[in-house]
Amino acid sequence: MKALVVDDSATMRRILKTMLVPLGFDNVAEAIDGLEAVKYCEMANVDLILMDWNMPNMTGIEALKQIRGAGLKMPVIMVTTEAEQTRVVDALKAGANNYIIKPFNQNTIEKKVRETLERVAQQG
Amino acid sequence: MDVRYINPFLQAVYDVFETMLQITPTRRTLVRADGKIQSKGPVALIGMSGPAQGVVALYFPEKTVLNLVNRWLGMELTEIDANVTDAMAELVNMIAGHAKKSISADMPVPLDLGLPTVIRGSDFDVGYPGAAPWIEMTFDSELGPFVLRVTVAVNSAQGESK
Repeated sequence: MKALVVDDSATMRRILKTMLVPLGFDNVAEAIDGLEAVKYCEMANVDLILMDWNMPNMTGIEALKQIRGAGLKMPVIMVTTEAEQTRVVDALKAGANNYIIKPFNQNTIEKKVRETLERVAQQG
Repeated sequence: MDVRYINPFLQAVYDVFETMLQITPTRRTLVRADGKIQSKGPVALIGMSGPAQGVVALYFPEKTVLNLVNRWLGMELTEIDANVTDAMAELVNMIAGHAKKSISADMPVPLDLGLPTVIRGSDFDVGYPGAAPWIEMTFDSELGPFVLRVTVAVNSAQGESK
């Protein structure tokens, strides 16, 4: 499976990539902001996107809106410090499939990724 | 700075270090301070805006931050480089983000976080447009000591409780 990790922090991209490998993601691409993520999604298929919220050039929520606006339906999980309920609701309304609040551990990533992929598979 | 805002930052330090690094820091001191920061290691800064304004500064002695990044990322770094400054930026981002959830509970809208910055220098003054004092919290950990310094001032026009 192929994933795209979108975060302006190289540290966070590295940690998330390491956590995705045991979940069956043998190909993990990286984008450093929302703009790069949108461009990547226009050119390549991915099975999952992990998206930060606060990034320079284009935020994760804006990128998510553009991805959904382009008709792309791959599952997107927001991975962010934005923990307030209003932010979670905004992300879900914009088309996020799930939400992970930083800080997180391997168990949280595994649970949320599996839950998201199963839910999307059931929806067909 | 309103003392109600101290605990969210303390809790954020504990939660971020325990979750991301499997380390339990111990708080050593908690004192009133100012924006004059004297650190031989790098300093990570992040601003908060919206119904309140604030700055969060996280800093480590060089040895502590190298221990921390080597543990966190499985590296063997011996000097400060881009990996270290990026990791520090992410740490201060997570600590401020975690704390702002509790602080924002009393606000009409959530606080906004800026993008983190990491600077290196031995003696500088962080300018802050407000009269609120800084609170300095020092910690010990198995990787070495570190410091969190915070100032938060509620904008009375916007930050009234719901």
